[in-house]
Amino acid sequence: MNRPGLRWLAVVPAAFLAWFYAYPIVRIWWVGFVTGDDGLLDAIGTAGVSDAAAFTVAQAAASTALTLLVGIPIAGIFARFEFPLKRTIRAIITIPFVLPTVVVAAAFLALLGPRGTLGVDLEGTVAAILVAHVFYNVSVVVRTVAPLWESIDPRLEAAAATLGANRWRVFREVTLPLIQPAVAAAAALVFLFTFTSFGVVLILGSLEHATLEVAIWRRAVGAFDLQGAALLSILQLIGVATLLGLYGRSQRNRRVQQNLLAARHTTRRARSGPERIAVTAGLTAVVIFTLGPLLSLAIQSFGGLDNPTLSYYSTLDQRDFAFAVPPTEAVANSVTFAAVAAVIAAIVGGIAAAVVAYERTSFATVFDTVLMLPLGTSAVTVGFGFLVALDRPIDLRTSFIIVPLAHALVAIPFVVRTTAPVMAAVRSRLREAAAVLGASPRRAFREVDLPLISKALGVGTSFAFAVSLGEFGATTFIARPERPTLPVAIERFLGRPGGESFGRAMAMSVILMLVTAASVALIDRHRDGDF
Amino acid sequence: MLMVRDLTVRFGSEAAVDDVTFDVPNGRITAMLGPSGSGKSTILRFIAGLEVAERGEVLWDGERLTQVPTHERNFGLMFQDYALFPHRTVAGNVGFGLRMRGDDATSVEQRVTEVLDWVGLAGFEGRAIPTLSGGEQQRVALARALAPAPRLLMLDEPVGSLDRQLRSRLVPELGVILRDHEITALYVTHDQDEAMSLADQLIVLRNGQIAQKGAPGEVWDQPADVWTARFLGFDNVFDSLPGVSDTPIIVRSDAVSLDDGGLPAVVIAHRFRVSGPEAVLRLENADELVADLDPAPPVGTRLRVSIDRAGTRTLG
Repeated sequence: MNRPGLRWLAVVPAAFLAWFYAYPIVRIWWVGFVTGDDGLLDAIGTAGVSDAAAFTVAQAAASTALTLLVGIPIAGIFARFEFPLKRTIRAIITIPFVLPTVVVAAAFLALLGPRGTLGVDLEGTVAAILVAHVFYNVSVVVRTVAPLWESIDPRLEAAAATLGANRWRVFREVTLPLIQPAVAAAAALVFLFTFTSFGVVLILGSLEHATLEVAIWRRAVGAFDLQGAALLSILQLIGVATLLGLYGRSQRNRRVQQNLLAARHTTRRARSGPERIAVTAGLTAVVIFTLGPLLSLAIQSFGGLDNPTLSYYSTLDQRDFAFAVPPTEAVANSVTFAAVAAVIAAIVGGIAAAVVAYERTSFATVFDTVLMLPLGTSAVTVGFGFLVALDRPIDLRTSFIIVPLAHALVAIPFVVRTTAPVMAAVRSRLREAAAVLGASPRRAFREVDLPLISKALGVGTSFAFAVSLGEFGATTFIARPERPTLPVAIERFLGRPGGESFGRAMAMSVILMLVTAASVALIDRHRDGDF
Repeated sequence: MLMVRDLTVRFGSEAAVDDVTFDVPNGRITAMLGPSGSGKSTILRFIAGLEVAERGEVLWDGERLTQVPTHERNFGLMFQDYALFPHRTVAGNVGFGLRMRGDDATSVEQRVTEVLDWVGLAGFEGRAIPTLSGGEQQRVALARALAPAPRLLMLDEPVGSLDRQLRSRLVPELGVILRDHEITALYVTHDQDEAMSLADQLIVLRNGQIAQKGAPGEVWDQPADVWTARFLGFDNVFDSLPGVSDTPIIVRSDAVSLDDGGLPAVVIAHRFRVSGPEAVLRLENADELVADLDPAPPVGTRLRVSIDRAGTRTLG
């Protein structure tokens, strides 16, 4: 359907991206290559850039391998078996993915830290980082792999078995090759997420375990070495761009041509004893693994099981000597920022989605790709870019709006991704049906497109709200000390010694978790609608 | 009366519809019959104003409609995939066209109830579309198209996506509804049984052109050519048959009998019909001939057959 004038609307998102994405990155390159006093190699050579790069890749590779190891069997259980509470368990294992990074980090400190419930202190170890990354990303693997696995005809596996393959051979020679595209996609995503991991590594890691993200932050904020930080950012950008390129290629030849079946024909209840034991054990383990850290977080927020107290919650409205505002104010800030960011993301993202969906031209395809860039760019780079760039033409760095702008930038891809497909999928048949029944094009849009789209836009906006609530990497650069967000406040409190600070950080994490859960629940309710 | 004149529609360089002219008389059912890709749906879409033609006109009672936008034509179209609005209830779908023309809520409600009753879905007003079975969705789509009482109702393979059993039940029902309400209908299908049983007038399409027009009985008695005869489902249609006819001919299977002086043939298969067994024979020129031979000789039997002239019909 032709909508004249839509193309020029692309100006709105294009200008937004140019100002708040492209321009800051150009400024980062400028700072890195042009303005510095040191030579490029000197700057890179100092303070272990290669160490940071090596550690970043190594921990991402290890995290990805471990996540696949845990996630694939769980995906198999979801793909092949019917069991009680399936929906609930699926929802439970998705919880970590929607949690803010600082909450995940705080939860693992609550479980494995010096004051942890388990009584083993893993703070500052690589193990803590890896476990938190697996926790965070298992649902990515399950949610990516299970749908494809589910749609593979089980008779193929049965056929292999009748030809003499044991269970392991069946998996390796039949199932794995067929689900390989989804496994590759999941691996690429997990690698990307852990490659750019910031909050978890900053909070759970130690001085010697710095990813590029953490190194950028330490250089820029700790040492005020802008050039060094800029060079690291550039390195990071190149790394992410390479990963995205590889991911895009893996997506292109995604599916082996095969007959995909509806799930209801491929799942069944566990039959034999060993099968039942395996399914039950796998599900129990993953549920405990998911809920354990969150439960410890809750317990620690009440001062532990031995002498429970409400004091960490009841003192949240009190200012203390080291922190500019009382934590309750940080809650209010976060909610306000999130609301503003969601509105900006809905407007800019909604327009962008309309351009992508209705302009079916090569221009729209390119535009679609450009819109996804902020998703691949690390949050730290976004924040750092805002910090070095947004003093001109208008100095936004002291303005209230800078935080919602950064959050909106990160959230726009979510809005586009949830809205554009629905817009495009409103079949032209439906508009034709409306026209035949006497609706003018304008009326058909209002009566058919709009009701279907607004639901999706609502989902995207709630997503943006949730993303903003939990955003940490960019915010930590740009939030003013007198206007901290909840994640920033949590990180500050975690970084300070003493049980009091720890307890209050736990309490704030629980609050952040609940607010996020509420907004995500809202998304799910929208989603359960029938489109 | 609907008139389509000199219609040509091209997709790229290919003519999907090639110089087609026909009328749809009022109050009758006209069936447009053709294999997939013969241009039937394109013609419907042109009449509805959803397709732009390279050449040709669509007229209603002499008034040219070619430039009138779809929503002002007052033609109903029932889509093959129904195109029901997923975000509206059954009543919301059926009442859509009534609301578009500005009916007030009460009369919309009444008409929806009435039309749902016609199609046997009384009481379905509040149901959500995804909860309906295929057959129910089909009826809702019909009700939605009927509700605004369009001057012409077009049906694009209206039972095409249903299974055979449901189809054979719904087609006669559909015929009854259309006739009871004296609806001017243009019914598109690729199924000759459907077309034959429903239509007052038949238009056979082939490669975007009209192969034959006429009452179903006429078309059945005198197919225009070999292709049409085969498409209508006749066996034993030959361009020529050595020693019998040099021109196109249809041979009834009961006109074939064993005869030592006849054409040499070999039995290659058996078919079983309600009327009795049939043998499929291969003639020397590789043509296949279906014959009522009771009992049918075993497959592989070589024999000779002759054909009774009285049981043949020449074509063209």
